[in-house]
Parts: sequence; C-alpha cells; structure tokens
Amino acid sequence: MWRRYGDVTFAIIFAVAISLEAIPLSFLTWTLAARLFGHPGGAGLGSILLGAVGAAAAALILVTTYVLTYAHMSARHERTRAEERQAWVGRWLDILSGSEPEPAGTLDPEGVEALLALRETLRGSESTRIAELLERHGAIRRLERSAGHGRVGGRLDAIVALSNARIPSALLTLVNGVYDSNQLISVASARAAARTLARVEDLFDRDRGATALARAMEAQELPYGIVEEVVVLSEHAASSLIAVLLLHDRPRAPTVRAAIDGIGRLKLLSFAEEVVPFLGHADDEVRAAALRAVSRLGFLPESSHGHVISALTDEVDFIRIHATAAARLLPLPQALALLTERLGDRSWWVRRAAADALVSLGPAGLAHLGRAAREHPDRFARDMAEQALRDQVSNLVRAVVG
Amino acid sequence: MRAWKGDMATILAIEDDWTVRTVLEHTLTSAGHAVDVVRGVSDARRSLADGKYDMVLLDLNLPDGNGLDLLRDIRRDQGATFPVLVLSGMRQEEAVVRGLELGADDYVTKPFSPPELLARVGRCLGR
Repeated sequence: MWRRYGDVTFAIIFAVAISLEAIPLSFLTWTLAARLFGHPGGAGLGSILLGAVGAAAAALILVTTYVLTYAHMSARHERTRAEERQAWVGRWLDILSGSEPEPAGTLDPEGVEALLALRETLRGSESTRIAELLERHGAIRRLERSAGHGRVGGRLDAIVALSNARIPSALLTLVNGVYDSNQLISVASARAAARTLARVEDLFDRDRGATALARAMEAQELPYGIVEEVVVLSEHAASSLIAVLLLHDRPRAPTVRAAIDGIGRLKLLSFAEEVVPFLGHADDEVRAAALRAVSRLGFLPESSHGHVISALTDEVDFIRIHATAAARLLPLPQALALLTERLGDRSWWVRRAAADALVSLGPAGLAHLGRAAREHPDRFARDMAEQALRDQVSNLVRAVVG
Repeated sequence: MRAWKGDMATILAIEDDWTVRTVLEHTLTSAGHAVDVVRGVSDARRSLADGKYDMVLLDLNLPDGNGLDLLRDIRRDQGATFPVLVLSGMRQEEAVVRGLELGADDYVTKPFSPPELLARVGRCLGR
C-alpha cells in the first residue's frame, strides 16, 4: 500500500472520481440503447459524448492532483517526523546521562518512537533504563491496547513496536496475539513474543512464557519456517522453547523439524542426545533436520553413529547429502572410508558433500581425495575428487595473492 | 594522518542508521572528541582524503558498499595506520574474524553500550 495516512480523503476522492466516470457513461449507454431501439430524442449524442469525455478528464485531473499532493505532503510530513524523532533521540540521551530532566505526562508518538529506536540500538544499563521509561510513561500499555484492537495496519505497527521494545510484561499480550484469526497478526505476534521472551531474565517466567508461546504456535499450526524463526529469535530462551516444543503431546512434524533445526543453528550442545531419536524418525524432513542439527553441533553422540551410517545409503537424496556432511564427525578412519565411498554416489550433490567433508578433515581427508582422484573405481568419483582438489588450490592461491 | 596528542581526538564515524549516528555523536562529543559522521563509503573516502582523522568508527553494511572493502582499501592501498573500530550488527564469528584480519583494531557488535564503546575507543587511541 502506497499510503499511510488519510483513509477518509482517499475514499471520498475515489468515490467522486468514479461517480464522475460512471454517471455520464450510464447516461451515454442509455441514450445509445434508446437510439438502437428506435427512440431518438433527448439531448444530442454529440453533447452527451462531450460531457462524458469532460467528466472523465475532470476525474483524471482530480485523481492526479490528489496523488501528487499526497506524495508531496506525506514526504514533508515524514521529513518533519524524522527530524522530531532525531531531536527526541538527542533529548533522551541527555535525559539518560542526567543532564536534562525527564519529561512529565504522556509522550508524543515521536518521543516513543525515539525511545524504541534507542532500545534497539543500546544495550546494558541504558537499555534497561529505556525499558523503565517506556513503561513509566504508559507507552507499553498504549501499544498493548493498539495491538489488540483496530485496523490491521495499526495493530501490526503496535506489534512491531512491542517487538522492538521487548518488555517482558507485554509477553502475555503478544502470546494472545498468536491466537488471532488473522494470520498476519498471528505471525507478527509470534515473532514479537520470541524477541520479548529472549529478554525475560527470571527462569520461572521464561519457562512459563515459553510454554504459553509453544502452545499458541501449535494451536495455530504455524508453518515450519515461522516456528524455526521464532526459536532462533528467542535467543537465550530457545532452550526452554525447544524443550516445550519437543515435549508437546504428539508434536506436528513441522514443529519437531523447526525445534531440531533451532538446536543446530543455535549450537545447543545440551540437546545433542535429544536429537538422536529423531535420526530414525519416519518423516524424511525430520530425519534430515536431525542430521543437519548434529552436523551443525559438530558432535555426534555415540548412540547416533548407527543412524548416520545407515542414512548414508538412504533412498532419499537429501537425506544422504545431510548424512554425508554429518559423517565427517565419525571416528576418523571410519569417516575417511565412508566418505571416499560416497564420492561414487549417484547424486552429484552427495558426491560434492563427500568431497567437501573430506576437505574439512584436513591433511588426511586431502590425501584420501588425492588417492580417490587417481584410483577410485567410479569415473564420477574421480572427477569430483579432482575438482575438489583443484578448488582447494584456487582457494590457496586466492588467499596468498589476494 | 596527524598524531593523536591525548585527550581529544578527531573521529570519523561511518554509519547509515540515524539513531546510531545520533548516539555516536552524543557519546563521543560528550567525552570531548570531535566527530564527523558520514553515511556511506563514497562520503567516507572523500572525508578520509583530508587526512585529519585520528580514528575511524566503521559500520559494515552501508547503503553504497561494504565497510570491509573500505577497511581493506584504507589499510592496504592508503597504508593508513590510524585505529579503526568496526561497529556492526553482524555478530557472526566469520564477520568478526574477517574484520580483524583486514586490519580493524577492535570489533563492537550492535546493540552496544556507550560506556563500553568509549572505553574501547580510548584503548584504540591509546595504542
């Protein structure tokens, strides 16, 4: 939407413009139809046509004038608001440093926006004081109210502002927003709740918040991508959220996938053992996520070795790709042998993953690649090994020469 | 480049976000430094040509280019020895390592704490 302001003016202008078009055209149609059926009369066709063209021109001029005026005025308005926000940032910094007294009463929108921008920019004691200022001046209460009622645009603005504020007391409001029937509101609330949860210090409150958020996401059946994003956004609170998501009574496959991917992305080593059972999951995507997670963790629990080895010969290509990447973490002699074998896989992507994994194993892996380039019985395996070694040489030259 | 003599330094901050720019100006001037703020790589190149700065604060994601490219040019092509402190929202290990490898004296991630930033600026200038 190109407009942010003036819904009523917009509606009136377009109602007038459409009327200017519709009324003469209706009259013209009526006259032409009457003539067609042998009832000439009323005004001449020429004058009716002229009237219709004139009305269309007037409508066009009206709309163009509106668009140009709007563009000019909104640009000026935005500029003024930006200057006011910037002035407020300076003022807040003076207040934080104690060289200016705190303003009394309700803050104007630019004052609140400046505080929210500062909350995003600063950390440490300043950030904590900004959160106190936001609460003390009633800004959070007002944003919570706006997040729950009114137009979708206004609600989304309030949710984004709450997301930037990351005030723990607003968590419940945001979790309630996840249950909203409008998916835009639901997803924005989930993201904002995750960022807020990341700032909840009290462990009990954090677990309670994580449970509420996980339940809301499951109830709304949010898609994999959103759940994963929420897990990653919850930063320090991700462990609590993942634990609840995985412990949920019969969690959905997309939820399990998202939680496991979160474990890998955030490198939550304490969950390494929890991932192992999912290496044998019936759902291909969940199995792949579990392999990705152990690979990203850089640690294969002993109980996972069998799963990883059997996944190397899985029917599904993308499972073999992830299994190959994870196999580099097996005991070295076993990893070297299995990865060299995978160089001859029917999928180019698996062969590439095997070559990359061998490179990551250092001198021993490079030696195996060299041998494979000369002696591997499969022609495609020899080609891939040679290509990987050539890439290594180019990388070395680039690193030295620049 | 002129030699930094002590308390007050002339610092060039290269930053496109208006809030961060205001915070940097406020924080550094209140500590007694003189600060010029520019929004992008091309403005920074023009300002650096003056040779009047004791230190540079550099954001990495700039509207007209990458801060790391500018850093490499500053160090390799211009041979500048003044301290460069990277101030970036990129928290990934690779970005930090790359910045330090290209010659940054320090790397501070956003969001940042102004007192900590001042301490790091002081340490860079004191080297």
